[in-house]
Amino acid sequence: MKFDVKTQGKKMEVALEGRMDSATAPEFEKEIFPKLDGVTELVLDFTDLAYLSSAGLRVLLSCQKKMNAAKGSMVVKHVNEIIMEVFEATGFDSILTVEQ
Amino acid sequence: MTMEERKLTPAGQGNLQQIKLGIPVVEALAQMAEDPMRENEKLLLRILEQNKDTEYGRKYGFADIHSIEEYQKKVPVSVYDDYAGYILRMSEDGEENLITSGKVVHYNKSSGTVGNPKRIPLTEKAFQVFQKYNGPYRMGLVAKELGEDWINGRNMSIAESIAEIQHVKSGVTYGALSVKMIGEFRPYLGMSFTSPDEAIYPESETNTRYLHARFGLMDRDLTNMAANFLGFLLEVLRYMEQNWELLVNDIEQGTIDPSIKMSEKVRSSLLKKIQPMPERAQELRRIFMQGFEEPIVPKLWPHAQFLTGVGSGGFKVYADKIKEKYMGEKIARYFTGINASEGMISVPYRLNDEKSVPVPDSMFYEFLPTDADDDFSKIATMDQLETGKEYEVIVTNLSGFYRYRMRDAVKIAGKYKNLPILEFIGRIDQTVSVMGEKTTEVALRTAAENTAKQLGFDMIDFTVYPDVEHVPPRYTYFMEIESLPEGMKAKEIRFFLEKNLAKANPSMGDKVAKGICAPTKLNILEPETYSLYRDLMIMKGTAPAQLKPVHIIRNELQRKFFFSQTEYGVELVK
Repeated sequence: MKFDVKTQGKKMEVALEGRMDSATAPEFEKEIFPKLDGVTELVLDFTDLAYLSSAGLRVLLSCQKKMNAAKGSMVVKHVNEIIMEVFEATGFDSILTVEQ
Repeated sequence: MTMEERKLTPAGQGNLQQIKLGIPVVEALAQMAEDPMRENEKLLLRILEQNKDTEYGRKYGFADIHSIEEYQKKVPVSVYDDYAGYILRMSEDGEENLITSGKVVHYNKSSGTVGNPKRIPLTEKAFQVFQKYNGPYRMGLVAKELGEDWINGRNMSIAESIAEIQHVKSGVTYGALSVKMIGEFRPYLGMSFTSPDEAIYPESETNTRYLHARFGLMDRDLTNMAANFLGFLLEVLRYMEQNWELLVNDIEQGTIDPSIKMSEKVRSSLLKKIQPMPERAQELRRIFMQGFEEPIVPKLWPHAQFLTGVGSGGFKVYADKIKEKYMGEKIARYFTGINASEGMISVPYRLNDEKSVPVPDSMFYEFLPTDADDDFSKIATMDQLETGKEYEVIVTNLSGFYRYRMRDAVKIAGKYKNLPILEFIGRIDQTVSVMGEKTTEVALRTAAENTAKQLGFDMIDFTVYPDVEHVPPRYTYFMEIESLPEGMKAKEIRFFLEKNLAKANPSMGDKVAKGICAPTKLNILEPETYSLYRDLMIMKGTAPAQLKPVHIIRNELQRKFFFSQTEYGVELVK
């Protein structure tokens, strides 16, 4: 999985590409999480993300918790139908802000 | 306080005080066990006398009832809906003397599996009884069986209080009772518990598994462990196993690894509480490097003597796993009996036994045979129970519930003096049925556990979905497995599961053999599915202490969640 991070002030936008699974999610977490300090607006762009496993869901949950604690916001945008089904099936659609 | 007592640690002083209060309570229960019906009838008549002028008491003529027989004739068996209107008036408008003359000090938020949470009133008197049997009785029983060598040590208590206590309109507190109880002791928790305040009252992003493990490991002298939800203690122990190098390095250097999630505020507060502990780290490293083949808890904490937690029903799987893998035989276990929002149903009468006994001065007990088809003429009192038979518990409590159906099923396992020994079977509705065969949660669990034992793999947890849409209907098992022996196929697991389920519930085995039901399907879950489910539910606002194991899928959210976490499914082709 590749990801491209753009930070502007307190806003961070991350574009993800490929598969977020048990092999790639820890690396993403390790890379992104320390950079979230001070961020209050996080946008995750899933345009090129093909697959999301439970390990990926766990990372999203962590990011959402971090943003909640910072009283900030997190939006997951351009979610494909397969990933949207995962969000709906797991109940994540009720705790994340998702834009298709 | 004597000179000797002053030499004790703050934890020791607190424990000793509890023991002093508790031993008479243990002895009183032993005394009541000689003639429990006398005490229980006395309690019933006192409840009726005290509540004869309430609206409910007048409606059913409590003033004219002078025996158990009269009570059973005049007062109907009830369910929550019978009280809902009264409770609304009490909690919203502050009306008094409706179902109880006692002072209501709290409304328990019942963790009902479906529908809106209920508000279960708790009077001052009931709260005192609850506290007496949760604190002093426990300490007294432990001291009677283990002595008092342990009292100076702290408790690695995996308690977390995320949900804030709320208030109903009348101003009385409302929420999980555990949240209220722990809140009252918050300033003193550090004296008794190893986990820091930041883990017990965590911010949502804090990695509490790390904190419980880290601060527990720092204290070589801890003597006991506790968790309402033993599944979470198991997770913490697993976390320790998987991350011991990081934990030990942090303990050695007095640091918190940057990868551990928590806010800067929490990190900074915690760093003030820790110092490098090179000697303890060296000792821990040496122990961890020996591996986890033998139970590690007695090695990490040589003074650890007992574990407290719920070990019956759906929690048994976790209690057994903790003993088998991490604690071994040396650590005694205090299982807390059957606790409900409505009151203390039972307490243990000895250590290392998940079975428990009723408390004759806590509530008046009646029992309806589970096979009685709601024929209330078959309701029995404590002295009329048959060993080996299953019953639903019906209680009259100190908080305004009369002949209230608990929906909890127990099996009578024998007698402690003249008290029946109760084995918790599960919720009455915790059975599953796809073709009228009624499989209990115990049977489902036994089949899963035996399969894991026979095949030698470590099952994290399991869940079952009654798939009535499949033709013919079947059970679908979900299992999260930690370490599958090399070369073992899911198909093999499913084969053993099918055999074990047929043994646990012959009716199901028979239906599968005749083709009325299809063979069981097995889905292997992705790693850490149960951990993810727990985190998700807490994120959605469930109090950790109220999270129950999902061993039977009951709602759409659970169904979708577990199916979505499936790697692959295995079906037996006949």
